[in-house]
Amino acid sequence: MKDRIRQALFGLFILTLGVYAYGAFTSTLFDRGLADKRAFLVTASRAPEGDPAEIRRQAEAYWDLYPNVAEDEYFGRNGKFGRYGARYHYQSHGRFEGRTWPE
Amino acid sequence: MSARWFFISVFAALAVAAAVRGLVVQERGRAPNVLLMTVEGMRADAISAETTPMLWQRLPRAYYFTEHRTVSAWTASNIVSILTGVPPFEHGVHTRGNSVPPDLQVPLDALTAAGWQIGGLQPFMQVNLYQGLGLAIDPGRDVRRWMATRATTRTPFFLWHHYLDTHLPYAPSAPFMPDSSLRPTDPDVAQRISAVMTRGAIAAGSMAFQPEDSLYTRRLFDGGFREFDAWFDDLWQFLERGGLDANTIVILTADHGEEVLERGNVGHASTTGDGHLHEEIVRAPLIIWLPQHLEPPDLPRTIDQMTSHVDVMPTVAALAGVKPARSFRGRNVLEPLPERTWMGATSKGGFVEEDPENVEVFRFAAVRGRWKLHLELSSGEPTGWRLFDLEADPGERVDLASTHPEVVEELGVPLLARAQSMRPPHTPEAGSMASATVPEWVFPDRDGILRYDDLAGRFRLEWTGPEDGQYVIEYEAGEGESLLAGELHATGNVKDFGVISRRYWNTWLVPLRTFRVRVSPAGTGPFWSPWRRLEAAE
Repeated sequence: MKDRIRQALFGLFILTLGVYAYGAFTSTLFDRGLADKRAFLVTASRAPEGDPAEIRRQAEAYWDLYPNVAEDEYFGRNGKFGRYGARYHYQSHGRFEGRTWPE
Repeated sequence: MSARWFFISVFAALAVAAAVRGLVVQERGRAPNVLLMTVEGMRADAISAETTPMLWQRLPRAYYFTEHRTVSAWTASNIVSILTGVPPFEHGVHTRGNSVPPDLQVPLDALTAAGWQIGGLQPFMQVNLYQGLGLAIDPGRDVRRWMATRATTRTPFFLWHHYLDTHLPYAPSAPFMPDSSLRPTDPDVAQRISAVMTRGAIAAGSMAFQPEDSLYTRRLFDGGFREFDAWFDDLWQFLERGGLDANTIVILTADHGEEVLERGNVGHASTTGDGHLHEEIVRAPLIIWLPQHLEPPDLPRTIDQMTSHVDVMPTVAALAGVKPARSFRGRNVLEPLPERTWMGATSKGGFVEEDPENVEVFRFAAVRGRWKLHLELSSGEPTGWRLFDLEADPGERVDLASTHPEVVEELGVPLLARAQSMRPPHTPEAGSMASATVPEWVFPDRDGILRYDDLAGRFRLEWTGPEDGQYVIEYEAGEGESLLAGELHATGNVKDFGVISRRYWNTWLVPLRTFRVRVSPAGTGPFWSPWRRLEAAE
């Protein structure tokens, strides 16, 4: 009985070892290409995003410059697009209407 | 059992558990991501080896559906069909202010429940039209960073991104502008071309376009797609460099096609106010790239069976291994499809309907084999039938309704039945949370300095609105590098942060100094209150 348990545990040990080996060989540990891709994604996931304070500052400046946009139901100060409304207005309409974006 | 055996057993159990967990995590990482890209106005002939070479060179790895059709003539109605698998006849999104009815089964909810993160990152997605679809809208986030973050945590995602820069006005960036020497010099033509290059909408009949305007207008339109091609190439390189291409289903299609003077207008329903379902509006590419392990064996890369926008989500559900929604009206396009009849529906004005509460004119069309039938309903009554032979007359110029009444009847009876039983536009009812009036601030009751003593020991925000409603609060606190921004959710019209001590107030909140908050009913709208601007003081 003890031998059987010992054999079963040994089998389990080998199986587990196999799973770990498979994991190791398909991981960034041994696969250089995978490691590079992983590093690329990690870098991309930490890339800086727009600074909310700067987005708001620019939006407020655009709204100050164009009060009709500031009042707009979608693009305005209290519009549905929030702090992104000003930039969105500029990109989709303003730049074609000759408006300027405050940098 | 001896202590030795006990420890061996525990060690073995832990080792097995860790290995199994590793396998589970690895398997979870194999759950495919979905990147759904819709491109504004990408009619079937907008892509080609000449106009979009980078896309074209990636076609051999994709499944390219050449007989695909949209189901409406304007963006939101089509997008809702893509994301629900339900045609406009049933989803009720026919003009601005509408949203899907609450009883509609939403397939993105099933994906969320199965562990996918669902994203929409563009500000325009916050309007009513896209509410209730199961999208977690996080406006302003960077697409690449969003995908990379999920990939590094092995969280499968579904991201919808809409490429907008091909919308009117047709003003591609300098490198993609047509050769300026080709620009018409005739002052009248130049004036009309200038309108195409500067106006976001050109109402039908507001400008008398002439045949000589076509060539340069089309060149400008194509310039937009050459620019899109460069953007697409850039994005694809990102997917490849991060290895995302190996486990991401990439779906590329249009919201709708675009008229480039075929019938005297430039644009589509929401820009002309005169929407129709002719081929330049409804024929669009559908291109699907699959991770290798999901590619069906023996499926040809170019597929000419009839498909439509309602097939997109059933295909995604099948590939993701998620149970298909009962409401699906489409099929998995990677399996053989039976002979089908395509049907589409659009309000005449799309987003710019004159009176969104009373849409009077709807237009419908059906295609079966070589025949295409158009129907218009005004106040529910048919006002005209037109029939075209798409094989002999792909431009739909010669109306054959009077000479082929049997075809009109065969296609027209089911089309009229669907049209007359169409779900009416669903606009959230007045007085309900859906169209709730914009909340007003109750506390703090004014902008300005907020002192600890003003709080009476308890920090809360309070506004007007139903006491059992769900709300979302957007906040920004601090400035510059220390700025904190985010959203909070509240049930009821008070967000109570509980008792806070003077010490806590002075230590954590006063240093941030400036705050602003606004609130909206959740799930619809949004219907934001005005910002409440506050300055915390001791």
